[in-house]
Amino acid sequence: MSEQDISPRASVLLVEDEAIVAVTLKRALEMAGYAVPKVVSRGAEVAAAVKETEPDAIVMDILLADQVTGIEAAQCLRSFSHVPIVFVTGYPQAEILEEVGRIRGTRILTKPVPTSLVIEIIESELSRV
Amino acid sequence: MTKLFRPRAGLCAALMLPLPVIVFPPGIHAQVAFGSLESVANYPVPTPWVAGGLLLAALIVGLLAAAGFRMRKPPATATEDLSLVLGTIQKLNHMAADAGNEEELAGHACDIIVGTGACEKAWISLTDATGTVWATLRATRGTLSPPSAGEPHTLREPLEHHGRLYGYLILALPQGGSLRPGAAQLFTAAADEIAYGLHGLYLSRERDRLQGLLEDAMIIVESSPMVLFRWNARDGWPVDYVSGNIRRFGYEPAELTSGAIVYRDLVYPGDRDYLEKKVAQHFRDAPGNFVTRYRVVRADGAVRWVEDRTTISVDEIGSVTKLEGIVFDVTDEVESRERLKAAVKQRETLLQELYHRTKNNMQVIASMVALRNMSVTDPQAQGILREIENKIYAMALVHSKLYQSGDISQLSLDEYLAELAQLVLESHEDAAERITVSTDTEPVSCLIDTAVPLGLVVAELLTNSLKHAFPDRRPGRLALRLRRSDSGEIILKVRDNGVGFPAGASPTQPDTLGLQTVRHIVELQLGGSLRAESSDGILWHLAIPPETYDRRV
Repeated sequence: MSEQDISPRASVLLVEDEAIVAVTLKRALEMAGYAVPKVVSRGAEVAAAVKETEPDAIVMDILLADQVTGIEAAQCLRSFSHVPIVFVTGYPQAEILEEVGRIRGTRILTKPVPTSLVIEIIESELSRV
Repeated sequence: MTKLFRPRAGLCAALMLPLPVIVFPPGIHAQVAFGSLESVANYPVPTPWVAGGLLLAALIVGLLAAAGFRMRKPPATATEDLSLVLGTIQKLNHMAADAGNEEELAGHACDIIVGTGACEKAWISLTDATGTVWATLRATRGTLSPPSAGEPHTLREPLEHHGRLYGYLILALPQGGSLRPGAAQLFTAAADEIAYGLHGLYLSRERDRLQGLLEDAMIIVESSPMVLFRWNARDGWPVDYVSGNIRRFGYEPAELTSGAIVYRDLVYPGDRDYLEKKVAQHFRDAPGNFVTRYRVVRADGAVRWVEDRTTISVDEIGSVTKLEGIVFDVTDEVESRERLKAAVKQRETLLQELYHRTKNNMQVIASMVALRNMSVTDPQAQGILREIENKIYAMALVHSKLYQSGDISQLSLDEYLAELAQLVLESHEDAAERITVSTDTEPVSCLIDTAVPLGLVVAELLTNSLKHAFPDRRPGRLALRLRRSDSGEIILKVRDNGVGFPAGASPTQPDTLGLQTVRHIVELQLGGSLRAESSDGILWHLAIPPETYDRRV
């Protein structure tokens, strides 16, 4: 996919507390033509980051650096934003899948996941908007 | 002690009198009928003293009446005969009361009968329940030789009472075989009396035996944790009976049976409503047995778990007549089960946490490889890094499948390999557009120790096909076939319909590092075999013996 396909340049907010994973995803997304204006590692920072950067999509881990989970952050977001969220987690318990299923506009991928697959899912989410 | 009377058909026959008219007034007869209903548990030893007295009176009345009715003989002779019968019966009756055992009774009975002069010899064969003779007692008149079986001129009377046969009374008649008047009746009445005595001894012994069994059973109950209860189906379940081992809970049986403490008081307050509802539900829906567990409070205040197995009996209109059951302490079992549950839960949580961390770490490793790949420009290096990244995903997929299987060490190999094939295909640039993968599998589960190396082998073989079998972006097909043989071997076939091995390449001696690794894993690590066929592409045959590894978790 080339940059011309996404017009104007779509932006993705990354919520990931594992630095290497975050950097890899950031670079892969940028190479695929997305803007990654901000990377946050704490659930409590998500709402402010969304208000600040107004992303077209969010890629978010579930267990983060603070006590606020990605799911809680997403529930909070839904009060003011419908931005698509792609969860990436190493904890695919049934309860977590269920909770994610109850939040509109979300997808979930299980770690480890190739960056190419994350990008593919973001593309499909954005094409639905 | 209950007085035991019985109408004796044999004696009545001897007297040739209509029983109700002569022997007993109607009231006494009714008592006789009632007394003859046997209950082994409270059946008394016959009390011939009292019975005999009444019987004697009746006999005398009967005797006089009989004398009046029997006109064939002069009254004096009839009286004499009947006196003989009466006297003999009385002697037998007294003797039976004193006899300590069957042999003593039979021996004395023979003496008494021979002593009447009505026969020359008398002997009694005592038989057991199978009819086998276990003792023979005899008596002979004067100096005559002892009697022997089969002797002519003998009479045989069965010694039978209430359907039980105790043996036979055998009598040798005087020479010539003629019976003196009244003798036949005497013998019948005597046999009846002896049988009655033997029956009394049997019942006495049976009562002692049952009493002993009951005492033994109570000793077992008292020394067991099973507390026997009989409750009244009234408010609070007052206790009718409780076995002595209620002391295990610190209570005296009398405290409960006196009503000072009702059963509800024993039940832990937090469980009373539960138990009341449970009992009410059984009263209403399902009389019979019910089993439940709740807590009781011991006299010292300690709370213990008990299991209660109660039988509810109801009458024909559905009213509860009895509540009987056992209650026993199951605290240790309940507590150890709780501990076990907690331990299992903790173990599962730890393992899940471990798998999750493993997967997160794999993500970090894969990310590092991917990140490095972004900064190299050499296509060969990029390809190598991508392969390494793919292998990490192949291994990580095992953990995902393991997690989904609900088992912590076994997973579904067929599902794993099917997903792995798809993953390999998708990770090769544009391969998914021109190559298809088909899978033909049956459910095969295996340990993670087998699945991981086998996954690496399959990933390598598929990658090899994707890299070399379809040059010039030609379309093609990959196929996986998985079976478990009857002997437990995992049989796996991996096929492509590509260009086959290049000329001069040997599938048995591969020169690429990837295929050498495959051979190494299959043969050395999994103890299996690998061979390749080259016709219309390449077909790999893998046979892996039943689990090389033992289950570890």
